[in-house]
Amino acid sequence: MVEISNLVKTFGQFTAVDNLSMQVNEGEVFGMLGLNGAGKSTTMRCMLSLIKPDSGQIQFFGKNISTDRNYILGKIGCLIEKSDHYNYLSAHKNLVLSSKLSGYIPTQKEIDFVFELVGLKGREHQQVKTFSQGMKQRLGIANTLIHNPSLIILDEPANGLDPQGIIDLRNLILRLKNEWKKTIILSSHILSEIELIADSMVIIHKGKNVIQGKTNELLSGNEVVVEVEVDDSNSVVEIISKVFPQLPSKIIDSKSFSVKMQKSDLNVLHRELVNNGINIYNFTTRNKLEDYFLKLTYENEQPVFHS
Amino acid sequence: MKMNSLYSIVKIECVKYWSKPRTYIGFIAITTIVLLIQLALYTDGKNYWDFLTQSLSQSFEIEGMEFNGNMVCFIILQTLIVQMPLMVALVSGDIVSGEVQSGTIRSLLTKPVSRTKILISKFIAAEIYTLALIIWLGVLAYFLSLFLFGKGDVVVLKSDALTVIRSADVGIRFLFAFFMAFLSLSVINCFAFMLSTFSNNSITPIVISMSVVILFTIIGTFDIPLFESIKPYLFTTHTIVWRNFFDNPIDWELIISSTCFLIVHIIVFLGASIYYFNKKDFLQ
Amino acid sequence: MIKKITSLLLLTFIVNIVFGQQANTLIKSVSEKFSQVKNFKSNVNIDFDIPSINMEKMNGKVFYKAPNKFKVKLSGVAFLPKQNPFELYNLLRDTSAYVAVSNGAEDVSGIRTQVVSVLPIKEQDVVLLKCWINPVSNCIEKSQITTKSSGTITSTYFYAANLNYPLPYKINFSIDLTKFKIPKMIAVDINSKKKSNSNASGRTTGSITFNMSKYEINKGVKEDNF
Repeated sequence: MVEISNLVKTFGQFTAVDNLSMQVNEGEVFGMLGLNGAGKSTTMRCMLSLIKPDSGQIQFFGKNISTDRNYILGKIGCLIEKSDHYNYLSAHKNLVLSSKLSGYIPTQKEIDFVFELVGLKGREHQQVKTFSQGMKQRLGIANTLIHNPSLIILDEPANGLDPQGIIDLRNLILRLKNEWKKTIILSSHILSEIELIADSMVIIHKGKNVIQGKTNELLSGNEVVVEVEVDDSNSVVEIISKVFPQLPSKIIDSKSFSVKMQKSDLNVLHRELVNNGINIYNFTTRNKLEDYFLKLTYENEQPVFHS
Repeated sequence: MKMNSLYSIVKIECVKYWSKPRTYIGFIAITTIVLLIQLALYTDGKNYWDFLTQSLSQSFEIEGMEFNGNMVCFIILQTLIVQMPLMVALVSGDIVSGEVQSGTIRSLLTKPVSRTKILISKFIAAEIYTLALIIWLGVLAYFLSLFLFGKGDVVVLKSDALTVIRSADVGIRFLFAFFMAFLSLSVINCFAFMLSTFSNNSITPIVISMSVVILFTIIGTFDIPLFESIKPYLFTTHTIVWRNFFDNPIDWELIISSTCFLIVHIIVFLGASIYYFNKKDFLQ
Repeated sequence: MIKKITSLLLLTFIVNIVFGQQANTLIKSVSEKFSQVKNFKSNVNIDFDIPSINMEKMNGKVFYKAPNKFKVKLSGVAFLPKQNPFELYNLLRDTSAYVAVSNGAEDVSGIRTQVVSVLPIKEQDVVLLKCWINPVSNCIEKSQITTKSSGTITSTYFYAANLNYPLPYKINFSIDLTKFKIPKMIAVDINSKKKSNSNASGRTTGSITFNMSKYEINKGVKEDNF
């Protein structure tokens, strides 16, 4: 349904999107995961023709966005970053104007239904300037749905939502996929948000497609990363090096370390630590993808220590 | 899913335009200024007029020189022409940049409407606002003045000549004058609009366009040789061309050349806006 | 020497008496002729030729009632001469109020006229009146009135042939504009363009022409017209 190939976008010396390619299949929830500034939003903006890419192809429904922009945008509903509305208009007016601009005049029944769906029923005639950020975000989602698009693009849709709002959004996305067979592309910098709803996903880092695949496949696998909190991480790592000389271990700080290993060896590690009289304060495991994403986060936030 | 016509987009833009409180500032300002002038002239207009024409009565016996609605309308138009560009700039300077600043441009540009169509519809909405402002001015300055002061000849006092326009001839001249004022305000409108497409915040284009209007007007008032040579090329110089409809005979050559000058400015400003807007990356 | 001076003074006195009498006779004839006009009403078309003042011709009505009531009724703004064109007849009527002196002959619009200067004796607004009188028709062809309040206005009168009453079909007023200034309006004249009709020629006089027609003489004029 969506195919991006060799997309490049630079801003001066900075390459925001670097030869990125990805595919989205019809009827799936597709997650774009990446840190802030990874290039997710720029990619989405290129997809929606808000930004003109330097090179590369973006195709929707077999048509190119650069040549069939209006046809494509008529079939898309989108919410880019935070939802912004005409604050001096009511939610109802905002919704109707948005729909009309998409070339669709909604019935009152459809309007009521969409407001019900996003949890704004009863507030539709209030001016948007009286809305909280969460309510504005809900209205933004309503705007993406009102003209019944085939493809919904949501850039960081959970921004500004409270925990209940995030759960509601998640359920709504799943309903859109399951009941109305919509294709949904959403971006986030939080892995858990993506892994809970996305059928497929891509990790974007420094504008590149680092990994793409089915979410369940990426999140499964036997290799895990164990993070352990102890009294003295240096002495413990020495012990582990003797027991598992082939495994890479990493000191995180003076009281914690991590080690990459097979899931089946977890009990061996645990036993060795107990047998050596080491006090364990925390013992958590993450799969490879989680660890990879976390590593990216650390690369961006603090230096990584390798042993 | 039907495609949007320009008409339907203009309608949407108008709804947005007329829902903004800022849109009404111009109307409130015009109403206040016009009513104040009318009140002042209603209470003390005769004395003022007598004082004004004192030097004339030394040489002539002046017949029928009564203060009338047409005169009041002329005075109002002459007084307000300095302020109206500022009112137009205040609203048009915000029309694109305001949407960029608030982020609503993202939603607008991801709709199945070309950027050119969006921009032209915004321009038309701004022009409708300008026209409405002129019509409102016309209603207050012309019809209300006629109602309050009655009909009569217009005595046009310029720095170097005095022209008397007969009452029967005044209405059509005002119609042309209001149209010409609309055209000259359209240039200011277009200028502010162009700056609005260039900018990502709403204050900068408003401030720049107002500053340019004030600067050009000041240059226009100084009779310094250096300024004299550049005056014909300033679009503000042509904002008072409406007054030429109150000459006898009407200098059509001057009016046509000014009209062409203003239209060329509109085309250039609008063309630059469309070109830039189509190329612009919306990163906000 | 004393003889010579006495002779010169005597000559001057005689000349004054002779020419004064001649002037008085002329004025008397003019006054008598005009006294036939008790009142009149006529149409008027006024043409303005005043530097820096741009005004189209306009139509109106003129009302006159002896001895000195005069009114031009127009619909709209008009710049008219300060004095009414028949005021001089009122001045000439009272012969005791002035001294008339003949100033010889002059041609006015191809007509031979006698020039008479009238000097009011009593203190009044008129300082000097000069009349160019056609001794054949006893009509004033031209007049020049100098007043304290309005300066000098020169009027030229044009008459049809074989007229019963000394009423002109055209009067041209020449107005002194040396003190004339265009007043400024409320708003500043921003970017004013220099217009071709401005007083760039440096003319110091302007003219207003009354083209009179359809006289209704001595048929009565209502008082409320004035």
